[in-house]
Amino acid sequence: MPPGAGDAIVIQGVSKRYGGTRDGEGILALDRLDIALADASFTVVVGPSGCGKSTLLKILAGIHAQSSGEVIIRGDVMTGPRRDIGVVMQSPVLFPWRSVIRNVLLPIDVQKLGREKYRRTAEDLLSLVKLDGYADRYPWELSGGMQQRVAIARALVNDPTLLLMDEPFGALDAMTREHMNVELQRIWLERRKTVLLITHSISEAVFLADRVLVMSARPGRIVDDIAIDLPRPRPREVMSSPAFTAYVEQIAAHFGGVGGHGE
Amino acid sequence: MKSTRDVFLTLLFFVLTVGGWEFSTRFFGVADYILPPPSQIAAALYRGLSSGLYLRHAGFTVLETVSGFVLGGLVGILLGAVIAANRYVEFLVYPYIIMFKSMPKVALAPIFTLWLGLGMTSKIVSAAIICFFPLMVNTIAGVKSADEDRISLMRSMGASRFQIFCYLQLPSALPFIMAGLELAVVLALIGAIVAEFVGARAGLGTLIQNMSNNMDGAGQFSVLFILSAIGLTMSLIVRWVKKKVLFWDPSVKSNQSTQI
Repeated sequence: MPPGAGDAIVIQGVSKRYGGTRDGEGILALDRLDIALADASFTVVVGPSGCGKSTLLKILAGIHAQSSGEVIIRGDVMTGPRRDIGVVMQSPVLFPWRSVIRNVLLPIDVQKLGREKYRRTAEDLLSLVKLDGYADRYPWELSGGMQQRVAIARALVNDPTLLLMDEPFGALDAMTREHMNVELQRIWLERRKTVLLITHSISEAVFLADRVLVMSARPGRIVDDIAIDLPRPRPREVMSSPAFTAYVEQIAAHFGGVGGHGE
Repeated sequence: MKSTRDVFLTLLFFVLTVGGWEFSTRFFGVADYILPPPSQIAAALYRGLSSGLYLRHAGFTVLETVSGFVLGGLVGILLGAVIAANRYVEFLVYPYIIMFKSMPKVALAPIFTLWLGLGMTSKIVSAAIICFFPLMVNTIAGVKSADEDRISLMRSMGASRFQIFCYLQLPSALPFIMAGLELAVVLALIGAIVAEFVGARAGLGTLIQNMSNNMDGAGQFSVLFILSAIGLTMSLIVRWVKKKVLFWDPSVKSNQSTQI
């Protein structure tokens, strides 16, 4: 995948080795990844647990450093955490002593952008994630799904170039999870951010993605790159369509058959 | 809320206990300086309060206790924060912490009296040193308790170490700090009283010693009553502050109905 001009994010030859010393090899978690993410695209990385997909996300978030290779964001080589990247983790990671709106405004506080200036933005985002009227509530008064909506609003508040999501609905029950996927698609269609989402659920990947990158078990490599050509907005029912099922089977084949629980 | 039956039983138990005490001291002819009957303690309490004697001495003790609590608490929290934030400081200081931690701090009271004299300063320092340790230790544990995911998230936002400390580690430490304060407020009173025993011109500890020398049993018991009231009041104030500060913490949220 050669880096193109319209690509927001280019990952070039990125490897990550853990615990490597002079006398030992360590563990190779990521093996020379080359990925280019087009502007305003929704890319999902799917792979078995332990394949290094979370490592990739942490490198992009600036939390871990890669062992070799480069990440280029809108032409700049990344050297550490970037303020134009929003992160949504598996758990909501809210701050219980802050009200909902002040949780959303946390990146604004950290980046000293002026809380008052962004209050409207934060309120609009709370509407976008359907939490009108919850601004002054506290996270512990909200359900798990609602908390994750707050986390999404927080990740969007400073208008990031890239939105990183690490199994954002993995901790939710199956029903809520499906609903949140529909919601995430709606939010994405309204905001059109460049999104990189990581999951081990193949159907979630196919439902959300413009493009699914299939990752192998350790060391993590991209073994397939599938464009998902299903019209948007995709209703929940799309999941039982033959085209959807064909995509799921194509991906599941990489993990040893339908069901797709690799390893 | 308590039912009428509960109120009745509580009163009955109180009357039986106090009545039993009154009766047995008189019936068995126990000497007043060994165990005075409750009626004499109440009379001593009334005399002490109405003459203003207890209030004057209590004023000294409360001032020493509160000053020591504030001083020891502040230093403990500050030093704990510095130690938790800096691995090198922790490495250097930790052996001393371990050594002092297991030492009974009240045993230092005679030394402070020797250094600082019979005035209030030696009592304040004695109360402060006993408050200092639980707060330092709890602050270190609290700062370190900050959730890894939250730290990662803040780093991904580009937060500085100082911002991570202010926005995350310090609030995360608050439940530990408040628990330390609850413990320290009671310890501070112990520190002040023991230091008064060693040597002082005023204070409830001094008063108890004088009464003991005069074999005034009822007086001593009545001062103990005052000391309990002071300890209880200070604990309740700290607990009230804790509820306000930690409204978001599970320990406060779940205990709200069961605390006294």
